[in-house]
Amino acid sequence: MSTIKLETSDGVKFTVKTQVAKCSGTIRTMLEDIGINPQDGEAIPLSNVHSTILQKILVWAEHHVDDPEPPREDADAAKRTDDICSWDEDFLKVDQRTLFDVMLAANYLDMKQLIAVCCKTVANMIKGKTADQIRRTFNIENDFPPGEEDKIRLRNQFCEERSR
Amino acid sequence: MPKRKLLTDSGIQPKQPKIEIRLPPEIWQKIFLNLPLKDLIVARLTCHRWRDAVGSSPGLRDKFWLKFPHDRNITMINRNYKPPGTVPASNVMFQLDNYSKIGSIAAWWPQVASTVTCLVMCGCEFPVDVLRHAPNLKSLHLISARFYHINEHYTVSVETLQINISAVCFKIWHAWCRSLTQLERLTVNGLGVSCEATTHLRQYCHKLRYLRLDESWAIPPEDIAYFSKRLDNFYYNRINSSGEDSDLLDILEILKQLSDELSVLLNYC
Repeated sequence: MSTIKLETSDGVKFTVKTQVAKCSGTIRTMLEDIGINPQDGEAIPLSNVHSTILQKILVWAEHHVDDPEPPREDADAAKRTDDICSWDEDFLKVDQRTLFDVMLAANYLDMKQLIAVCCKTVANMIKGKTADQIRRTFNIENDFPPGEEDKIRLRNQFCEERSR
Repeated sequence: MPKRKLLTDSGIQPKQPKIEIRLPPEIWQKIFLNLPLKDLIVARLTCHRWRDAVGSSPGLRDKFWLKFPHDRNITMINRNYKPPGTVPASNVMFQLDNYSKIGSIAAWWPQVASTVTCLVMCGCEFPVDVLRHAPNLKSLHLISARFYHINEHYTVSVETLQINISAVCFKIWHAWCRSLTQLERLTVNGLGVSCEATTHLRQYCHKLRYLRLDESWAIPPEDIAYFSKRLDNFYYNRINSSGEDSDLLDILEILKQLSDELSVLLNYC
């Protein structure tokens, strides 16, 4: 089975099955379109990904490598977030920093399925919370000047009533 | 000596820097696409970055519907009307009664209109300027509504137009067709303009691919043949025939000549 080498931002080299590495759209493009030849033994540099995160992502890719191509989703369709498979759910039971780092790396590596499942996980962390609870959850500073939040709340109310 | 304001006296304690891993707005937008409207509304309250992320994504804006006037007790929209504030939304509905005239639309509309792609106008008459302020408008639905003041050189970006029971005189219909050069889909229920009306569609709306007309239309046989050949979808639902028998035979003759691959639905009683 063919393998390729990947080198992370901190200089760690990984030897990965080509098929697994191709879960990443970015790597797939490098191999197929740009014509980087993995036989040369040279590692593909992934300058935006740290080794600890790549290791984690490779575990995910290994597990999902045989997944069928997902159906093209209508971007506007109402999405469910309760359909995360239990393996992914366990996989993403990590601290928030790691979760966000995985998302950034998955975004850089263009791994749509992994991003999708991460987005659902984060959406579930937002659902049903008040603005204050959300701020505490994500450590966000309330940068609205005093009174502004109430104004927006008022506008939002107006919209909420009108929404269908 | 100019007084120097001492920052230390301002009473504001320097904030503790927060450790925050920043996700770029495009990732937050992907996350927000998974939220139902009520949570999306709360997300907008959280901070500037989240509010801007929601407002700058067409997919998220599409989840918002705004309805004007915002208060059921308001029955007119004129220059004095001002909504209490809005969110960037793709979908807007004006709901009035009895062809209530929307005169000059006040300063708030252009900003709201800039993000609108779908507009529903009910029970009102409005100047075409309302549409011109919405450069991204793709879909317009007129329910007992009409627009006017159409200058000869006006064009409207609308691709899909749906008309329900709107009283429109032939002159306005002519001007409409002339301005709707981007029209691809047209559905009409209960409009009732004269039999030359379809000729204007042929004349001006060259991008038309889909046409559904109801029984209020008396379409000349040559136009039926034209639309049947040229359009991807042509539905003509004529239930109450007011035409002469000779018309009927002409149409049936033309229909016989049409190839089967055309999706023509003709209910002729």
